[in-house]
Amino acid sequence: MPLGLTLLVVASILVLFGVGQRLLDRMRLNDKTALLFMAAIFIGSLVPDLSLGRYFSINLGGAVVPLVLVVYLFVKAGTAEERSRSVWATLLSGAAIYLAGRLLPHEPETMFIDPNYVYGILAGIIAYLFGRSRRASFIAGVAGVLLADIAQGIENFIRNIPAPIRLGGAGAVDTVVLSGFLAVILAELVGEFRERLQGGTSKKNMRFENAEFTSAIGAEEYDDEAKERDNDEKDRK
Amino acid sequence: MRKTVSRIIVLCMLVFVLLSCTVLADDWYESDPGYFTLVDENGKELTVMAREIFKDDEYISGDNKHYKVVRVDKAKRYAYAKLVGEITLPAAAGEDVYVAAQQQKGSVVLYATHNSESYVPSDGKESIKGKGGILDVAESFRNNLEKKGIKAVLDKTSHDPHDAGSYRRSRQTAVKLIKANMPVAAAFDIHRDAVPKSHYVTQVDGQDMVKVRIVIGRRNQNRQANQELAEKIKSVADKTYPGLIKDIFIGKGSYNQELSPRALLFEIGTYENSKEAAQKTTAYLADVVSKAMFGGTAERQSRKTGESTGEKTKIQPIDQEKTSGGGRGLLWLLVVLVVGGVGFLFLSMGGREMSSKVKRSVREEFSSFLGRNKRNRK
Repeated sequence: MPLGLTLLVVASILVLFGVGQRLLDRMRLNDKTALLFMAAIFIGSLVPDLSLGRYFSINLGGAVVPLVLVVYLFVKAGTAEERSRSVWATLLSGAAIYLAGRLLPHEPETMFIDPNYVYGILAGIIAYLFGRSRRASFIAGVAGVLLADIAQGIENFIRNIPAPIRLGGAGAVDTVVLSGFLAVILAELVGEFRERLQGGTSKKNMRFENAEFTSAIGAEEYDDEAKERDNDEKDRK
Repeated sequence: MRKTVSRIIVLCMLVFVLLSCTVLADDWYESDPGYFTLVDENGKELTVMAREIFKDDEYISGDNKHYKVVRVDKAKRYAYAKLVGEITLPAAAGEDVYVAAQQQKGSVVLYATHNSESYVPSDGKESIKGKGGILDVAESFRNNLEKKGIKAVLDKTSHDPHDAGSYRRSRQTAVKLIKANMPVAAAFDIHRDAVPKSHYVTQVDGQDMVKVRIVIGRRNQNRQANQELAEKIKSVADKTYPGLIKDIFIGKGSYNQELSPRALLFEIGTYENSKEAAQKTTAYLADVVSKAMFGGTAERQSRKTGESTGEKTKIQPIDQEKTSGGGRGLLWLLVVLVVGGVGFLFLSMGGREMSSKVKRSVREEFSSFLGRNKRNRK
């Protein structure tokens, strides 16, 4: 393959890897764990799918690793309310994705956005409004697509449609993974935009640590900018 | 109260998402013509398409004129295109053509996203659940590629039902095929069109055949690279079997072509053509694809008699040509990444904070090169 094309393929993979790592990093994961999960998604994608009977199979990188991450985020959710919101967001996303598959036009060119991204956007909108967090968005994005796929498999079985369901079959570039990331991007953008509209965070008096807001009482140091701001104010006085 | 407002917003957004697109597909078989007509600036019909045409879609006609859609009348199903120039198809090679050796060819992978598509005169109906006539055509194409010494692999996995999830499911097939058959020279998605028969009937090599339309998605980073391959294939076909490649349509979709810079969608005939004619066509298509990708000599055939006209052209393998599609795709990807990143930073931090953070990180990153800065010296 010519150099230009080779570079293009390599860059596409790196972009996906880099963006994915940054997005995981913005949830409850540190740099190393996020990197580890991205590596697991890519390496898992290379392993052949695991068969789950006649109608279903599952891909390690495209479904198992994202599911492990979903379970981890769910268990680590801050409050019972966040958990229940995640569950509702997931169920609604699953239903919306399944319905979208039925109701949207069949051809990519007739859709305002590519089918691979529309599911992530749907999951992102629902997850943000019901889940109100990046973590809930990721959970709903990933589990929503998987739920919709399982529903499709059941329909195929009932209606005798001879089509297998490969959960996360395209690995790192499967809609499951893309949808999870898109949902987080959307939650991030909507959240940031809303925050700017209301003139800053409503958690001004709190400290952001390990992807969570905690009390600032007892915090020994604050960031350089805050220091600079305080110094500037003192100078002005 | 806030919860109720949130739920109302969700419902509105869902309704917007679901209703913002018209339900049109390539499976129109009603008496009402379910296709768009593309006309030029003078109102002359260029082609018809069983897919919705959008502003900015592009079209390369059989005579290599490049059009861009400037206006669409959805109610009348008419699209108006402006001529933007003539396509210069890749030139023929010099005398010292190097034809790719067997072991260097790489495999060609084939699949059918809409595996239920069928040909009415041969299959009895336009769609057969799970095993449409299109799979027989794809199989003929595979066999004909193998006759040319190319390792061709066909995956007949069903992606039914034929709905908005078809491309999502066929994406998994495409990835599986690419992964299992590295190095992959090209990935082709085999379809048949849904416009009246008259638009696809042709004579090649003195026999009745069907025409082939190449479809490229313009919503992905591989668009330029894929267009180069499509133009090369058309160029070889024009030199060898004039009339075989009908045209090239560059539409709004992606068609999973972001997975490979050598991925195309072929529409082989239409549902009103016979499957046998489509199968016969694949022999000529395989010859053209083989020469375009791996090199060879194109010998022009008379369209009516099928005899050689004696006109020979050396064809260079596409990978040995100076192409720019990869570079342009790379640039496109980087631009999107930079614009997206800066946009996100701006949104999340605001102009002043962003510039302060950028300045600070530059200061910190380069402090070892530039020496200690003023602040540190204090």
